[in-house]
Amino acid sequence: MKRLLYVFAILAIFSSCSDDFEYVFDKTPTERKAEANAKLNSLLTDSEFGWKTTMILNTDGSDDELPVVGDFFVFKFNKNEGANDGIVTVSSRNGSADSEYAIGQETGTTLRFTTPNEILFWLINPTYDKPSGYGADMEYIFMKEEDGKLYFKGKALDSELVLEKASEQDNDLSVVVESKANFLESNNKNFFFLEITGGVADASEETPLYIQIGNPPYAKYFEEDLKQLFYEFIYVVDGKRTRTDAATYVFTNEGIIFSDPLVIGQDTVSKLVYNETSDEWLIADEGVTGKILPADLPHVVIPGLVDLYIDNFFATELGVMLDPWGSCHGPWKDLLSDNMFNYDVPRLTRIRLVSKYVSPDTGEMLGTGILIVGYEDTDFVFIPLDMEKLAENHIKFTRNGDIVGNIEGAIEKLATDESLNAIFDIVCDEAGWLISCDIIPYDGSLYYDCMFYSVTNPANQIEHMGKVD
Amino acid sequence: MNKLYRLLILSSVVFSLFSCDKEDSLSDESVVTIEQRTQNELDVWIYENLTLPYNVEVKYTWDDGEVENEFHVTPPKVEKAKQFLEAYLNVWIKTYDDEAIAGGNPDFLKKYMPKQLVLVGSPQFNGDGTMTLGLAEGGKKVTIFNINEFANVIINDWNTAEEILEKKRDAIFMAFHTMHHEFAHIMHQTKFYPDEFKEICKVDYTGNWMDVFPDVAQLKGFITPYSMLNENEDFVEIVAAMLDQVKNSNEPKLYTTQLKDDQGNLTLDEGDVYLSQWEWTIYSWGFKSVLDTTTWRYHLKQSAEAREGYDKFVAKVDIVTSYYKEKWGIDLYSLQKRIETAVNTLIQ
Repeated sequence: MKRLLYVFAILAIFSSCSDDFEYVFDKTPTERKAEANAKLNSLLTDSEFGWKTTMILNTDGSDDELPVVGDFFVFKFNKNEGANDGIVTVSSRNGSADSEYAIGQETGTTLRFTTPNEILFWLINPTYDKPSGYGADMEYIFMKEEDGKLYFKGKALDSELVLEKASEQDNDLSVVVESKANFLESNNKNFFFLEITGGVADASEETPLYIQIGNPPYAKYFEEDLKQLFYEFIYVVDGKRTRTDAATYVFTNEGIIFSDPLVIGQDTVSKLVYNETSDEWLIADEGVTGKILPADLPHVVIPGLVDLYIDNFFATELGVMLDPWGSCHGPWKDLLSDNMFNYDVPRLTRIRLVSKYVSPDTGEMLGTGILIVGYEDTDFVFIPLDMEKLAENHIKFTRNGDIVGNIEGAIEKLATDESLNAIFDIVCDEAGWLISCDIIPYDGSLYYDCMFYSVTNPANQIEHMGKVD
Repeated sequence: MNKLYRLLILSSVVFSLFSCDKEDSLSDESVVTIEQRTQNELDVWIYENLTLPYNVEVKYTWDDGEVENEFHVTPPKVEKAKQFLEAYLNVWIKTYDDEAIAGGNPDFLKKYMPKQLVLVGSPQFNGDGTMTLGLAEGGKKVTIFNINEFANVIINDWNTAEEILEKKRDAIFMAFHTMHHEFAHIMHQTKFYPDEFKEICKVDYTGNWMDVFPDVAQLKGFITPYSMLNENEDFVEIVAAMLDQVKNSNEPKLYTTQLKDDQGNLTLDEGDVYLSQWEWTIYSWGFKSVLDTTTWRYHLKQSAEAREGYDKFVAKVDIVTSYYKEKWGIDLYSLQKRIETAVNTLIQ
């Protein structure tokens, strides 16, 4: 046994230093790194028309403070001879700008944008309230080339960059610039809607689902060009009002992408395409029909809104003020300022819509009407009205009785003055008023920031804010 | 047989001592690769104007090794980096150099100036709501942030050409506050300032400087709230303030204001005084406008607390200026004049 051990020991010693080491690679690390750098640089620069990408960031919702934002870019890389760097021209809806780029080795082969450019860097630059920027990276690790696409991962923020070979057509960003201008210029009425006629909730041709597209308050932090990229959706489905978070349009050479798509139940609206024949922006998602609809009247119906006004906001002591300096907009503003709020006798200094007015003279409940107050709060003229709810956000005012009041000469003036009657006729227009509200929760209360639109002439508007505790 | 085993074991031991003795020849090529940048126009300018004459390396392109990883910052726009560096050369380097030569210390700048300058385009936003505008590391490296906003001014339609020039002038003065601040750190880290400086305001240093309003800091004898962080920041903020408030240093401006008596107390008598911007800062230390209810006229007042703050501040300024003169041959008042001349030349 002992001898056997000696033999094994001797064999082990003789075999232990058997020099069977072989290089796994046939090149040194330096050579392999140089090759990897050169390979990526060649990949980037060899695409004749560059590379395109649709970059959408913050989609995982890991940071509530960050909106989902995105943009479409075309990168054209031009390398410096014999070096792993060069100039990249980045183009988007907003023009083109150059950055220097460099390729190197860190945790892999990396692509770095070493100098900034205004086209790409709005997604990278830190700001006071967003110290990590809007989610894009300056350095990307090259992950793989697959199906002709180059996949990168952001080194610091883990953002994804997928470059797809651009065609000659892609490289012509004038298409994107024009479609952006076309789309934004079409938003030239009081409201901008998605009119969905099929494929979402129970929308149909007969009863479309209207999604209001607004410019969110968040956008105010940005310069004009970026401000107009932001949108939010406001809609009511099954009696529930929803307002989505701020996100950005992504203008691509194939249409418009909503960086944060509209999702209702299992249905999604994520993109729009332009139809040249009808000059309309159509929903491009499979199985969904609809289009962009600029409109002067509100189509999103908030349940119970008219009742809320009649029972609550018109019933307050002030009711709904009609004044030309803040609450009334449009042509009738001039009618109000020219014919009221002056020192003429009889003095008519304030005009309101009220629903539970009690006569200061007799204590009698006069109810619903147009209230005109004189110099003192107890000086009044009252035009009785009927307030009729035509729909949840549609109200009509109709005169239904004799004018009463205690301001000397006022009743006669109101009966005969053509200009004043023109004001009352606008209030009591047969088609009524449609109401649109932004509902803002604050400090335990709900603030209704509303606008009434005259159906006959939507330029005539009444602005009002009401509070529900 | 035992002998045979012993022989075998011995030979195997001897063999094993040599068996692994294998020397590969070393490669001629280093495994450490240094990425070389292609030089652009600005790189050439930097080499010719800063690296060759002053041995300064400037980094303005993105290199994450030069900034702290926990912060997200971006590189400067090339044109802003160029604008800053031209001003840096003329307003900062050359003025210090000329002043040091005049003070008999010709090697001063080449010896002590930061040898590496890192430019960052954005500010560095900190978690406490503040932002870092500059960093100095060990006397070698200075990082300047927010270069993309360097010398940016808001110009309104109604501004005259002279007003626009004035805004630009102020913006450049202020932009070098960080450089003056960081360089002053290198100075006091190299040669200590007198301990008396630390005694003057020692009870008022606080880590919560960001909660102190500038006028309150002044009452306590500090030029800025940040000076209240510690004695070193206090020291360098005085230097930086002296060198960014240099307007009218060459030609003092006329102020018609309440005069001071021989003891430095503010009187109600009005008169003309000619002061530079810096001199006016000291003269008007802690002034408040108060309404005299007997005459119903406003006049300026320096409260007892403000006077105490003034005395502390002036004492600190004396120490700072003496330190610079004695230890480095730099006359800060003379340097103010040089900087004003340089800025005026730059914005023409």
